[in-house]
Amino acid sequence: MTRATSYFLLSFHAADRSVDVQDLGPDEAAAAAAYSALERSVDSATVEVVLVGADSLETVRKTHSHYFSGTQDLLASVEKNLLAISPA
Amino acid sequence: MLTVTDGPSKERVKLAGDRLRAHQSAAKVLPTQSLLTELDVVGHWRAAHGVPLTRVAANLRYYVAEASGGSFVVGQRLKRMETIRDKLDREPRMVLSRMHDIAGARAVLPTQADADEVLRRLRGQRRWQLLPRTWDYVADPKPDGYRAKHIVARKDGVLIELQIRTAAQHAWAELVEQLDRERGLRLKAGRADPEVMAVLSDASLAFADLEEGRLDRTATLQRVGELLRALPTTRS
Repeated sequence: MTRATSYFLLSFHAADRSVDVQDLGPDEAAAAAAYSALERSVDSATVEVVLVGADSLETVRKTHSHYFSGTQDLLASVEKNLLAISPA
Repeated sequence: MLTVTDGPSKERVKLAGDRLRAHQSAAKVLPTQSLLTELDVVGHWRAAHGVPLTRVAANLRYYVAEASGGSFVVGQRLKRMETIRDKLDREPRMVLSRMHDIAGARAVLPTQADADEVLRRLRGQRRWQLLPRTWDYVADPKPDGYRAKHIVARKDGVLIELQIRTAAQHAWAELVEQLDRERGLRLKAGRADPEVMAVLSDASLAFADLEEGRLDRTATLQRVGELLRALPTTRS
């Protein structure tokens, strides 16, 4: 019925708008523990840490696209989002 | 594995929220060790949402797949500690154990008809309870122009927010996330300039026009581009 959920720990660096992705696999408890540990160890003023989950990283790149837009032009990001989900 | 039964009690979570709020407003500053203890309580409370969130999001994915007339995505996230703390400041009467968006799942579908069909199916299912209220930001957009419909599930003793969006609503929301960060609009912190909110709200109307067929994609992008140029460029 449904595919397993994978967890991804994202670290977004405001300075260059880059994102590090840690693929934590399907272990929810380990993912939540890694989230709190990383969050405590970084400077939240410069690095934004967030734990997301979905059936794939490709999905996360759509549901939470702003972490992955890099230095892409705002309108280019908008267009990409509009094209990502389309009617039949 | 943490569940709500071995996580902190709701009374303890409420207390942690009240103590953090008092600390952050400097009404009653906590010594470092106490601050770490309170943050740890909140961290455990957040972690207790993880498994119920994943179950609810998996169910949501099923209903979305059934209802969508085209492609779709479903994702989930646990709220960042910083954002939880900001929200405590912003909503002085909110009880932390009743904050309903610590865990959030999001579905994006092609059209409002698809989104409404998902909501109808969710209201009809019995896997978990839903709070009766629908936060209908399509009928009543937020002051910054945010549009979507939200409902809140109750699963294994915790609350989980479900955001049901169309592609156009999602494109606007992601644009605003990116803008907020790049231009320091302080939207997330709830402290944006009213003029900025008016511009974003106009942009949101352009996305609604796209969704309802009054503008095509090229015209929408052009209109949004014009509006973005009207925004202040300096960080606040």
